[in-house]
Amino acid sequence: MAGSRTVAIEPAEERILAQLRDGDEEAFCILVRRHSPSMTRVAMAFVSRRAVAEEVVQETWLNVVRGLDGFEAKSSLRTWIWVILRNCASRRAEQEQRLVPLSELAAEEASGDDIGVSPDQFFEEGRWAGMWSSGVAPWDDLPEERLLSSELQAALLEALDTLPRMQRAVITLRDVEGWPPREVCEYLGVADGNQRVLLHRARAAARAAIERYLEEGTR
Amino acid sequence: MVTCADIVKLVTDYNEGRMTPAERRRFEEHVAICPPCRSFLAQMRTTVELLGELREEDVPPDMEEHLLTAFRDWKRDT
Amino acid sequence: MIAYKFLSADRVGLFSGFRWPEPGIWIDAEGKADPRVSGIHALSAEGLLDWIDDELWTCELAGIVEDDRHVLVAERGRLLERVEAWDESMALDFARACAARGREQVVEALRLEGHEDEAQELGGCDAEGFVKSAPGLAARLPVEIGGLVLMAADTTAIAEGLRLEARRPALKSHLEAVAASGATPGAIAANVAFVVAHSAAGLHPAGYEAGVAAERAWQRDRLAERLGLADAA
Repeated sequence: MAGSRTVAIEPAEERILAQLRDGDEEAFCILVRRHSPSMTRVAMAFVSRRAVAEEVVQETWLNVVRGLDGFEAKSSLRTWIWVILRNCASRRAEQEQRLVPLSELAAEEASGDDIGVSPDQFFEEGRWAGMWSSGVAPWDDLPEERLLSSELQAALLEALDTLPRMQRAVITLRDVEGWPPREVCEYLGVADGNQRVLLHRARAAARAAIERYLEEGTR
Repeated sequence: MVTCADIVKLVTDYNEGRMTPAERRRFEEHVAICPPCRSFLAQMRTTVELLGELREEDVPPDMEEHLLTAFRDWKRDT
Repeated sequence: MIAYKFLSADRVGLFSGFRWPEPGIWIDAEGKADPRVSGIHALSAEGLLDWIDDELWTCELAGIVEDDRHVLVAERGRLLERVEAWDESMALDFARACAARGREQVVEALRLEGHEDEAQELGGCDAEGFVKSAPGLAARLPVEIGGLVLMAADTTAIAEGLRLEARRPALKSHLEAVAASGATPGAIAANVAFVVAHSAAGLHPAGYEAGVAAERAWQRDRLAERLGLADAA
């Protein structure tokens, strides 16, 4: 995760931890709101159904609350929360008989020829084989406001929702949460090569969603 | 010869720094002379930036309620 | 060590999206990865042709880690001065000159292959006339040379800012996608020069590789001349 591993808990986190232990409800709500959406997306790698994933996330927070007094800050607060999530999600997956390891799911989703863009966007044969057959216009031709709008955020979130589960988990941890590659691989138990393919396909899908959103706006 | 489809396929390897210098050079030589690929590379970069800027607040309302109750209970009990 | 650097508009690096600071301010390579990868890249005069973009700058480098006579990689660099001569107008001028050669070469090829009428007609066209006449003519010619005629027309249209003419689906071209991609003058110059060099190549008596080299050599000299650069050693 962002932040050095030599210092377990950062000053900002120390403050949040203190607030939580003080019973500061607003601090707790902020924390829950900040992390739950990504936690839900990652939980869906384990249990696949959103409703179940939400239960897992809820259970995670309950465990966090129960564990607050005993938390020794040997890891960062964030790491601790995510580890609890993984434990809850794995347990729930076992209960639901979803026993396919994530590494296998990842390998499955990473297999095949999909380069992230539909083959019909390229010439199939002839002198231009493999070259773009349609234009790709720069997005910076469009006014900046559109790129940061809440509608675009909604379009992106929807795109994340429609991804296959391991792609969703990888792009959430890598790009939404900003974790480095090795941590994502370790956390999910996924090989680096597969992680990269999943990330690529997920990013390409997100790009396509943004493209569609921007195109719709210009009609 | 490097094609546009190669660029699409390899763009994440490129951005992740997982190419040999020679591969990198060939990738960049193509992008330099191909306007659609220039756009595509920039779009992928913007996509990652936008994902990093996502700020969601949506928690199912009953979840937040349930958790707040649990938090208050814990607060009261300690 | 003084070298050159092409950048996209606003001093932005094409590959990184990184915006260079104002001239005079040094920046360091990232350091963590292979310096050949993370280092500051710059160009000799010889290397300019392959990396054409919107803005041309002189730059100063320190700690050269690689130099293949075209591309230099260094640990540190700073921009010195914008080469004002390279602007949108010169970029498009260069593109047009490259495209003009493309047209001449394909007309010559038509003549050599015995397509006298077509050679005559296209040879007598100005740029706009060529663009308009090409698709109709290309449709009547054997596929290979017809394709080259169209490439000459399309590169011309892109360089001249003209619409590409409609054509039968069978003659659909990647250059139509290029034209629809919002290319800046720098990007246009880079693309047109490259495409012309590679289409001319097929017509060269000494073969494809020689053809590319010959055309690139002409383009390199033309660029250096226009920019007022000393002959590369």
